[in-house]
Amino acid sequence: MNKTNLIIYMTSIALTLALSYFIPYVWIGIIPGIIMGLIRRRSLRLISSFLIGFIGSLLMYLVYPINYLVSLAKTVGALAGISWLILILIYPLLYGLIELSASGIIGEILNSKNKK
Amino acid sequence: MAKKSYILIAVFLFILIFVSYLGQSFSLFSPSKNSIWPYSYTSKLKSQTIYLKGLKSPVKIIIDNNGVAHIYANDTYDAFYAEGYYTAYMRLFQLELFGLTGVGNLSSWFGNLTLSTDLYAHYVGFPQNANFSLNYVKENYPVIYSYLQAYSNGVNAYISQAESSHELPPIFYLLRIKPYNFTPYYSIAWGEVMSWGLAKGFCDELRLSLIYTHLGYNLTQELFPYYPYYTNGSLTAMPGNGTVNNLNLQSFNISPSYFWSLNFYSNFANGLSNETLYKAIPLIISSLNEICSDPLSFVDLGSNEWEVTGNYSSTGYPMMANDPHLTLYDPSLWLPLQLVSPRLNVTGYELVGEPGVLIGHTENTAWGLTTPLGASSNAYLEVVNMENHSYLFNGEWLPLKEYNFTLLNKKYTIYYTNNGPLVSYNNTLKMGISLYWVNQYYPFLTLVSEFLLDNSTNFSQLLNAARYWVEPTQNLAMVSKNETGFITAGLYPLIRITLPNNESVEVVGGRTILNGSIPNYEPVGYIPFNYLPQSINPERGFAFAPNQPTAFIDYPYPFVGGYWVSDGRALTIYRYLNSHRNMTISDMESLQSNVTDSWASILDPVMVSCLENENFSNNLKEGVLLLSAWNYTFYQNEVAPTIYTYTLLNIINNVVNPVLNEHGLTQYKNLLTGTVGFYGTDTLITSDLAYFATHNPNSSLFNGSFCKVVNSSYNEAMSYLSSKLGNISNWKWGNVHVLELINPAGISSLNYGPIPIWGDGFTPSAAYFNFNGTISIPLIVSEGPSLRIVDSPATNQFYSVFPGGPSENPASPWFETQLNSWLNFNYYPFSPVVEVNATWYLIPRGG
Repeated sequence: MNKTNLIIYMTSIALTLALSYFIPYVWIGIIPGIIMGLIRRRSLRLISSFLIGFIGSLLMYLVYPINYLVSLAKTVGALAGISWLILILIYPLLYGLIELSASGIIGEILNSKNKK
Repeated sequence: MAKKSYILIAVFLFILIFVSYLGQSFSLFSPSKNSIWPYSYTSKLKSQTIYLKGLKSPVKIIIDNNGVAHIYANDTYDAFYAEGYYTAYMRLFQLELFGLTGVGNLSSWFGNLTLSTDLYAHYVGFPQNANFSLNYVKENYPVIYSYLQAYSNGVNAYISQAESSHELPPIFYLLRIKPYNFTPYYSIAWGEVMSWGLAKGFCDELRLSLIYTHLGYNLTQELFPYYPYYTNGSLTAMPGNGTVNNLNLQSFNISPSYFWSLNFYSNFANGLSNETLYKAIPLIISSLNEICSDPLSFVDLGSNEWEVTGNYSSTGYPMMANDPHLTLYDPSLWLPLQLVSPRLNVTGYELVGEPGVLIGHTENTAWGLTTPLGASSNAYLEVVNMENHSYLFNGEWLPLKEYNFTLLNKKYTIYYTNNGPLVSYNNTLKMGISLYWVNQYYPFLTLVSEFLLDNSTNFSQLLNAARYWVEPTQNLAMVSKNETGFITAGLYPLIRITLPNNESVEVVGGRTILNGSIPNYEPVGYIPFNYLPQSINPERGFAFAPNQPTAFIDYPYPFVGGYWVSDGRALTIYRYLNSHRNMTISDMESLQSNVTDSWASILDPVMVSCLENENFSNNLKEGVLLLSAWNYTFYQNEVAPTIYTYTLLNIINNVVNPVLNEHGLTQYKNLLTGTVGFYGTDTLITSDLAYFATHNPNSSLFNGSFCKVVNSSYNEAMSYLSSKLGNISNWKWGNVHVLELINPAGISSLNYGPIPIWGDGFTPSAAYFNFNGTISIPLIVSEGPSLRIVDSPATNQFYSVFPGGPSENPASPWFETQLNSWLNFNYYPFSPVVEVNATWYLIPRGG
């Protein structure tokens, strides 16, 4: 891994963690996604941006006492009529998709410019 | 740019927009600090220091391992402030829900969904009465008002803290509602709701009017006698013939036997002709629908309490036990705590939303509550003209008073006669029904009484506190170190009626609606305090008041509107207390845990004698054998209670349905539940059946033969149970009789259960299932002992348990802390601190 990519990954991970803790809107994942768009290889860019978005925001649930969080998710899930696991996983999945699509858009634009 | 890139950008853009849009719905579930998850920090109780504005000096709260908070303050104001803070921490949503219910403004949260409940609250008058009482307490009891305000300040301090840390209960965020600023107005309004839920009279008079107009006097009286069949002077709460402090009916030259032989459904007792009563049937039905079928009108429930004197206890000192039966909410209506300040040391249960301890003990005293069931509200038939908004009273047309209010931007008007709000009217008939209730006319000083109880140091102070009690009327069980007893505290409105022999007497309530157009049936006062039913330091060594008739036939202020429950629990408790001496704490707990049904002990042998000689198949024979070997206990692993109960339910249907059909009451059967109804939880019908089965088995109610009814009912029950449960070994009581704790917001997915449970509606350890004529499996129990206490101040022994925990957070281990102990009849020492779980230091901000 070259130094530039390492900086991109680190910046993107840091932004994912920070933004998903401070801002409760999934579209904020566009910002780390844009950073990830700087990675040149398309497949690497898309897979890693999704994983950083998904795992990064999932990790942030560890900020809370996990056993009580799961119990709370079970209660809210019962109230909403959905599984507690889906309740916890849905947001990180969406976050990953946002980062993936943002990086995808930026990556394609940059690739096209570079080709010119 | 290549075409492929354009396509990819378009696809990614689409995903981006779509997922961003979709993600809006899930923002509350993000891991952000602005999601619902910060609430999980509150699940575990951790020791902490909290800085709060408005506290005068530091307060320490120790939460012990049993979930009891011990609040130590240097100032009583601070103690109540901390109580409010702690209650809000544990029960904020419940607290605010109850407050809004009381002030009739649930629709500000839930919109049209709860509009009818809000209208109901305004019709009965919770917000109006609360406002009246609030001003009265503020003006006349400023110190107590300051404690109410302290509690509210504590609640609001928690709200502002939880809002800033996003730690409000998730339901606030999910429903997009915000907590409101809590004030004493909400505490009093919620007190009004609880008060009305336990008030008797209005609905009972309507029900009996409907029954009487269809069944006539004889059958009504046979089914709903003035006193339940097994009542005698030993079984009444106040023992003896009804004489109280040397006063009785005979003091007014009225013979009790003459008095109770009278027909109180007739004109002299209500001022109405039968013809007028018939005319009023549509109004009676609409009033029953409007006022007596709402969830806020509690089902008829009971409670237990008994006290033993020093001569009767093993320690030589008095003891008492109390278990009030209420809807078993999840979280509970109660919150266990101790309040300590230089002038206060009280331990017990806060009724969530009401500052202080409602049921509990001090170092020297203890007290508990049960409902006495006499009428403190009445239904009046009015003559009205709604075209010019007037009503007829004493020959004059008077203007109806108007009360206007707005809900969801729509204006509503309630009209009042001199007797209270018109809850229904009919322009064609020119009639209306108004609701008289003590709380409309008298400030809710029950709160004052509660503060006096919390500060009591001896028996005379307990009695003094009882003087302030208004509503709901309650049997106040009291013990100090050396004295014991009970008094039926509260205000019973008296109506002066002239008997057919021209003697006048002041009575409580009526058997039917009353004539509101003439002054004759207006309340003339209340039962004087000295003559309220009571038993202080009883000679027989014990007193008990589990909702049986409070006083017998010679009582000077007869309870024409008594509406007692069936005496089932009273019989078991009386038999136990009367046959035991040297009672210990363990005996008291054992009696609270008793699951013997008195009616089963009478009915089951009759059933067995009817069935034992029948030529049954093996399965049916096995059922009879189980019934004959049964000792009338209702434990979860027994089969006999299942067979008995389903046979009994079929007997009730087979006896009651023909009566309802024949007299045209079938269409109203859902309105006729309760102690003076055909269905319900602790109805007179079961005691009627026990009495008739043993005294008049050939009654026309049984079509000439009780055994025939038993036989067909038993066959129906066995066939139903076989079809639903298969083999008889699956018919255990715990399989068909289950507890479900009810979410107070009515969110059924948050109900807790089902859990197999002991008892039935007639066992001292009661577990009421609501029977409305439909036989089903399982029988759902959602009412029962909402707490249990056993106290002996002189020996410093205080034990308690309740079916819940301090927290309303289902994810918290403090949610149902004591439920299993409650189910297994185990108790916790109530004070002092047993094992510390967490310590909170509340520090004045800047201090």
